[in-house]
Amino acid sequence: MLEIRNLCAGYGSIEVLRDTSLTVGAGELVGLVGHNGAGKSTTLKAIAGVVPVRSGTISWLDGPLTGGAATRIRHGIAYVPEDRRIFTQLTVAENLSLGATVRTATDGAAAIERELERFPVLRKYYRRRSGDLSGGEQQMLAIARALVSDPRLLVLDEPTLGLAPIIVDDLFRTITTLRDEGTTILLVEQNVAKTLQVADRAYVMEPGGRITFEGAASELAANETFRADYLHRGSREARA
Amino acid sequence: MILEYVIGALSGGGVYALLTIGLALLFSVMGLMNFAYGELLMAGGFAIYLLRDLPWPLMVLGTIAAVVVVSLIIERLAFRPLRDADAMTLLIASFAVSMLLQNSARMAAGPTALGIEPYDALQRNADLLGASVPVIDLVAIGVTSALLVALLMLLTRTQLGTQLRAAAEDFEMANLLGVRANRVIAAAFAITGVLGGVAALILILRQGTVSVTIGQMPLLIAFVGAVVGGMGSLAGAALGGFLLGAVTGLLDAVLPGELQPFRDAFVFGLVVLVLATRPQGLIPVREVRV
Amino acid sequence: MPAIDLSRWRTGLWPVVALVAVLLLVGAALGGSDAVMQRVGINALIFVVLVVGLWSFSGVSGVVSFGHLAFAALGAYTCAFLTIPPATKQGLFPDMPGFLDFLLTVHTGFWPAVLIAAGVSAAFALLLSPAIVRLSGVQAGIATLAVLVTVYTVLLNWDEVTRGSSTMIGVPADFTLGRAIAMAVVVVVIAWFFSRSRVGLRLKAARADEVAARSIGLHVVRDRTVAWVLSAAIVGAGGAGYSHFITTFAPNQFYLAATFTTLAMLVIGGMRSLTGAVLGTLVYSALAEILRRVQSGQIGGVELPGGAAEVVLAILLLVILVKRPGGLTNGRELPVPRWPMRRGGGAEEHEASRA
Repeated sequence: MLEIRNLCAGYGSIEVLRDTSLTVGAGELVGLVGHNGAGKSTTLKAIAGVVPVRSGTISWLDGPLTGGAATRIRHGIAYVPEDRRIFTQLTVAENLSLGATVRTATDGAAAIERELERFPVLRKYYRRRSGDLSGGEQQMLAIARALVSDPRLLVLDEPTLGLAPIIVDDLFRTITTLRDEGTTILLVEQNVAKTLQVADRAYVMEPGGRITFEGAASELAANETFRADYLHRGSREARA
Repeated sequence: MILEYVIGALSGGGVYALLTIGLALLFSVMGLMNFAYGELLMAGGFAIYLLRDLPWPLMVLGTIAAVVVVSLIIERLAFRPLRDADAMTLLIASFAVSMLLQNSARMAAGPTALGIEPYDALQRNADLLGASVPVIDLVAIGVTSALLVALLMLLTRTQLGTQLRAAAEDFEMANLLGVRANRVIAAAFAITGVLGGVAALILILRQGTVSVTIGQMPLLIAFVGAVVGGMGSLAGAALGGFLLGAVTGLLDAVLPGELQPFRDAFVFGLVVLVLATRPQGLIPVREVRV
Repeated sequence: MPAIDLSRWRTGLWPVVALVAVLLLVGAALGGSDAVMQRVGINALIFVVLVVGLWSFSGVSGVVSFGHLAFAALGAYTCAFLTIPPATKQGLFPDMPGFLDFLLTVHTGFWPAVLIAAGVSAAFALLLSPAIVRLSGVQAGIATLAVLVTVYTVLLNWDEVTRGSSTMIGVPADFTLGRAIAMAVVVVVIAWFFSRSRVGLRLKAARADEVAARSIGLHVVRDRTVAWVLSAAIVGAGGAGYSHFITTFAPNQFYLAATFTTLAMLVIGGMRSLTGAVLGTLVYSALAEILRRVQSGQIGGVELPGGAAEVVLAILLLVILVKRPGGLTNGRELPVPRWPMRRGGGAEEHEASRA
């Protein structure tokens, strides 16, 4: 469904991604893991249209993906950036209504109602300023806001960063549910252990955007060198 | 006596609040401190002059429409190509736009001021709780309050308003959610056009003349108001405008006669001090991180 | 790697030698021309002084100032007080306040007056510096603009001392082409060696990335103060020269229109190089003169209403901002002519980052 081929991208004179390729199939939950600075976030930003593609292609549903950031959500790609980036001065209701910008009024209202069912806490604080929400609640709002657009592909960047373990578990359950409902998901996460538990397939990225592993998540989880390199550190971080 | 002073301060402050809100709106949405805003007042002034023989409701609507059109043309021709430029480049560009408009007007109207026949109804004084206050001040207070309420409704009760506030907080994220940049920015310019048109009507009908440099001083005072209030938030800017109305009024009242002409020097000296001690303005935007 | 001495010549000396040569050539060409052209030339050279002064703060530090014409005004008024014959002054300022009485009797020659004007502007800048140099970006722009408005308002209304909006008169008309060239050359040399000094190089590094520069311990605020005061002194000297050129002036000459002119010159030439400042001024001045003649019907035969020249120049500035934000020079200094060169451009940035 999404296919990235030989992608090069970066900021100014710094090239973060050199020749990166990966694919996401319909209905899949794909995990993208790797150390900090490998280029995971940049890959997602390139998909979202925030970072320009220098060479290579991003194809989406049998056609090249072009146009600016505002067009992606109209193509059915919803991106939840790192740091959530909810509009803190706006209410929860207003944040969700902005997620429905590309929908008709009735479709949007129905989608908002659906997401309020999924995240009851958002209903509770519906008229509150979203800046007053806790970190976990803000993350739920960010995901709900993306889901209101009824995306075919949900792109999540570090959704559990800085959240309490119990909320991290909640979020991973939500992500699994979304996949089971048929939403295609591309997930970048520091929490490698949990990511490999829920993902169908996984990629490991190293600096320069080099993909050093691609395959079933379970296969990666069983790989000894990978475990030594990532998992122990990952589980330590999760405990910390 | 006190009531007369309060009415004067409210009407003056109200006009500056309109101007500072217009400035702050553009600044928060696209990082533009619009130097050319003064020329919107000038455009409004010339529109009043040209439409002076029409019945007054048509003159008012025509003036506001003219200012909105000028504002939108500026956006389309000068600022849209500079969408991604930094704030400093935008400030210099708006300076150029200001000179462009001022001198275009000079080509068309010449350098001398044009007189505008006063409306009798506005020039009279009215009796309010025993005090005699100018009708134009009362009208100004009524109109600015109504406009501020309308703006508040627009910003909080409509989808366009939500989009504007979202774009003001995080333009890129709003864009990612499908909010169209061109539409939001054009809307912001249109709103500043309406605010500028109404401000022009009040200022220029009070003054009775229009010239090519008429917008300069109000613009500079509005800059001060926006900076003092904090450019990132509309409420701060509005407050800054009101505050400035009060300060100029207060200085008028307390400065001894021979220092009166230096009022503007005191006001602008004040802005240097405010910036030196609180670069984000007196009312900084609240940073919220949980 | 090319030879070290060669690269020193190329990046350290060549641009300033070339710029001085350009100024001398312009001067020589004007020397043989008619009186009108000479006046145009002197005017352009004064603006070279003002713009180079502005550049030594805004260009070097990257902080744009809208307030430098205030220093020019201060320089012009200071110089006028020092050089108007005392007998004339008695008549011009009958109501001079007591504590300023010395202004009526003091008298110096032209060059001492220029130096004192520069000193007064520098002192005023130093007084303002705590409020200004900490700011950058739009805040600095607004604060410097507020300085301009404050100084303008005072000059306009302090009738007893400045004659307010009625013009200052009686300044000797002795700013010759030779003096204009001398002043422009000296100022260009000073600005160049300042930008190559340790302070200048540190400021250029900070211009590229203020946060990083602060974190590695560069004293941005102190360095900026130095640049701010020096540039005020240069602009003050320029204002002094200007007063002896136009001889009658009012505060309006040092306000928004002139501020626009200097900024446009700087941006059109390219704010990040001294070559840009000088070249921008010369190109703008030449263009303004051509447009003035078109407007008055001398070229093309059709008279245009006043303001037409300014409209064209404002459009030019907008086009430059959109199409070539680095200005005509794009931040480069004059390149060394082809023959001794193996490798061009970029050397200056290397030096800046090495400092």
